[in-house]
Amino acid sequence: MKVDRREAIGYVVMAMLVFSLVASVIPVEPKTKIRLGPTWFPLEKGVEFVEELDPQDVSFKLQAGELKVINSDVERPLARISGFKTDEGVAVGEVLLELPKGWSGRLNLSVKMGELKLSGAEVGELMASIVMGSIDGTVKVTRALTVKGTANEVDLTIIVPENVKVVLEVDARRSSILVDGKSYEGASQRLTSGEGTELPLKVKAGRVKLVVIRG
Amino acid sequence: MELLREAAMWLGWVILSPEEAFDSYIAEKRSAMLPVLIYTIISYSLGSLILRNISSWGIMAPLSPILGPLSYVTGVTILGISLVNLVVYTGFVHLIAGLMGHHEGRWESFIGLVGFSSLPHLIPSTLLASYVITPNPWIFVVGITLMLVTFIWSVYMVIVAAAVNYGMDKGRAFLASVISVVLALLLLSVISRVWRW
Repeated sequence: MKVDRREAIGYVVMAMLVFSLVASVIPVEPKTKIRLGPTWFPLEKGVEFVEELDPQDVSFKLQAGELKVINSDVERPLARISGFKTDEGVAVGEVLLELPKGWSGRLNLSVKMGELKLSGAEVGELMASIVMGSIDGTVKVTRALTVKGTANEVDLTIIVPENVKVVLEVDARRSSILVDGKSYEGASQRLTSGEGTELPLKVKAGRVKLVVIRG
Repeated sequence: MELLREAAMWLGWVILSPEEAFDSYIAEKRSAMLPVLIYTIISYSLGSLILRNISSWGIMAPLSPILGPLSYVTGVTILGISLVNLVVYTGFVHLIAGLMGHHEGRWESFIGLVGFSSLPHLIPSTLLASYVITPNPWIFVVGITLMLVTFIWSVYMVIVAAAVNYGMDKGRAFLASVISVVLALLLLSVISRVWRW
């Protein structure tokens, strides 16, 4: 049987079609282990551990998962991690970051993919960034706040001291802001409110919903 | 066996000489079944394989137990979107060609020709399929990079398809099948932005 060039190429194309289709329908086996850095971790249970953090300057990186920040009765900041952490200090999984009540230190949070929930945490200075996901909740800030989430949604209630001048900069496609009882709508915003020491609040995200109150 | 041989002949012909193959396809008033079947397989495979490839990265490990079903859902979703896209796109180009004074082409034939034009995407699809079996990161990188090249190749085949089906020169076919669509998408984007505001 003579096969011409067109037919031969056609059979190759057919083989590629079948190969692609088979590879896209064969069942995928769930992974049982994950390697982070040099170590293999069992995936079904994960690892639960507590990490003590710097008393005044906390920096935490989460690759994927949920990072929740709360105030509790702890004496120094600590992270309760259900998941894994690489040698480079990047975590995967669920993290509960506990800060002492009335904490006035510096908190630097970075989330690649997931959720950052601020559940009434008190901090002196907060810097938070997220690549994919959302940032929401309530945070009490005394010195400064910077939140970056380029294409994400930020929904925050920020509690600031009575005697400060809030300097708010919002860089967003859409924003809805309530500062000291006055509401502002639109895209990017730059405004000040109150008298006293300046307290800069910078928020950059796709959509921003902010409530700034005194307390 | 004869059917398989005939299908192989058409596939090879489209790859080697799309203009000639498309011309014969129209002249013989062939059914769109083979090209639409190819288009369907490639759309499903690409959708599912991209997710399967990404799923092998450590970052997706926590989602591992649901990645199997998720890859089928992604494949079917991409397939659904691609089929709607095939119908809407070919209908739009058919309309534009008519407005440009080219009424001779059949829409059904154009669907078939555009289906054939998805053939270049089989190259990245095959590479991504190889990655599922041998997860070498370079295979994924080359596969994704090749998508751009095969996209251009595929667009060229669509232009040829429009030229042959509607009896236009390639310049006018480019206007009808590429420029008009880009302009329509830009217009839609402006309208949606105005609507949101």
